[in-house]
Amino acid sequence: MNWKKAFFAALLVVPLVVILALGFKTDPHAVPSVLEGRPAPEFQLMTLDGKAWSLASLHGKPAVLNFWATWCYPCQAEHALLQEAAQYYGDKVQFLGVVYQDRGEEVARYLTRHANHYPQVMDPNSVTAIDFGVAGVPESFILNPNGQIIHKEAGVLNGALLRKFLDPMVKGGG
Amino acid sequence: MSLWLLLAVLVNSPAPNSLDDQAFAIGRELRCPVCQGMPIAESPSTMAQDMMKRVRDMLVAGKNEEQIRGYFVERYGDWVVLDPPKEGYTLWVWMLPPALLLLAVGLGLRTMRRLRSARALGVVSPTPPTSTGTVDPYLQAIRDEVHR
Repeated sequence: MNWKKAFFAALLVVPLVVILALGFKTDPHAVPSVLEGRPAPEFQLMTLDGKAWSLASLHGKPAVLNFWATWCYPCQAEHALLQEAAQYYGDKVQFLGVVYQDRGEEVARYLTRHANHYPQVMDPNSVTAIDFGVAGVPESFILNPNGQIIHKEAGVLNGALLRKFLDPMVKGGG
Repeated sequence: MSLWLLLAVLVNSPAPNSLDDQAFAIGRELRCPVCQGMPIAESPSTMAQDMMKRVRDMLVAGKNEEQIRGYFVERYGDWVVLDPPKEGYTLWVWMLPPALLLLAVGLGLRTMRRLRSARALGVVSPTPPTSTGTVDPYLQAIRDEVHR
C-alpha cells in the first residue's frame, strides 16, 4: 500500500468529513439568533381597540413578546400555554402578543373564541417583525426588565423554557 | 424606421439607477427568511415583499446599499446575505473551491507528465497486445497512417 498517497488522501478527506458531520448537527433552515444579549428594538404598535404599546411600556419587568398569527396552527397550540403562563405570572411578567401578517377582523374573531389575558398588537407591513429579525411564526422573545433580549425562541414555546428564563427574573413567580 | 425603433426602446427603457432598480439590486443580495433559497427581490412570500418595502423606504430616507445590508445583517445575521462575507469563518467558502480546482489541475498535470515519461521509456504500451501477444492489425494500420 502506498502510505504516502493514503496519508495525503486522508489529509484531504478527513477535514471534509468532519465539516459535513458538524453540519448535520445544525438545522440549515433555522435562522440564527443574533439579537440575544442586545437591547430590543424600539417599536410603537396599536391594539385592536386603539391602545398604544411601545418598548418603553415593557420596561421595569420581564416581558415575553410573542409573534403569532391566526392562520398559524403551531401558534394556536401555543396560545393556551401562553394564556396560562400570563395568569400564572400575573403582573410580575408582561406578555404581549404581536400579530404578524394577519387581518384585524380575523384576530378579533379568534380572540372572542379563545381566552385572552394579555394585550395583542397589530404589526402592519411586518415592520416590528423585521426589526426583531423574525423569520416566521411562532417566534418569541424574552426580555429582561431593562429591555434586553435574553432569549429568542423560534417555534412553539413550552412551560419548562418559560420557567427557565422567567423564574430567575421573577422573585417567587406566581 | 430603425431610428424610430431605437428611440422607442430608449424612451420606454427604465431609467438607470432608479429607486426600483436600486431596491431590486439590493433585494437580489438578501435571502428571504421564508423561501430560503430565494432573494427577497424574487420571493413571492409576504415577508419578502415587506422586506423589499423596507429596502425602498430606507433608500428614500437616503440610506446607501451598505447601510441597508448592514441593517438586515444586524437583525438576521450574515445568513441573510446570499453571498457569504469574504472574512472570518466564511472565507473558506470562497477559498476552498479554487484551491481544490488548482490542486486537481496540478495532480492531473503531474499524472499526465508521468504517463508521458513512462511511454517515452517504453515502460507503458499505449496499445495493449492482443491475447496472442501480437498487436492488433487494425490498430497497427492506424499507427502506420498517423506516422506517415
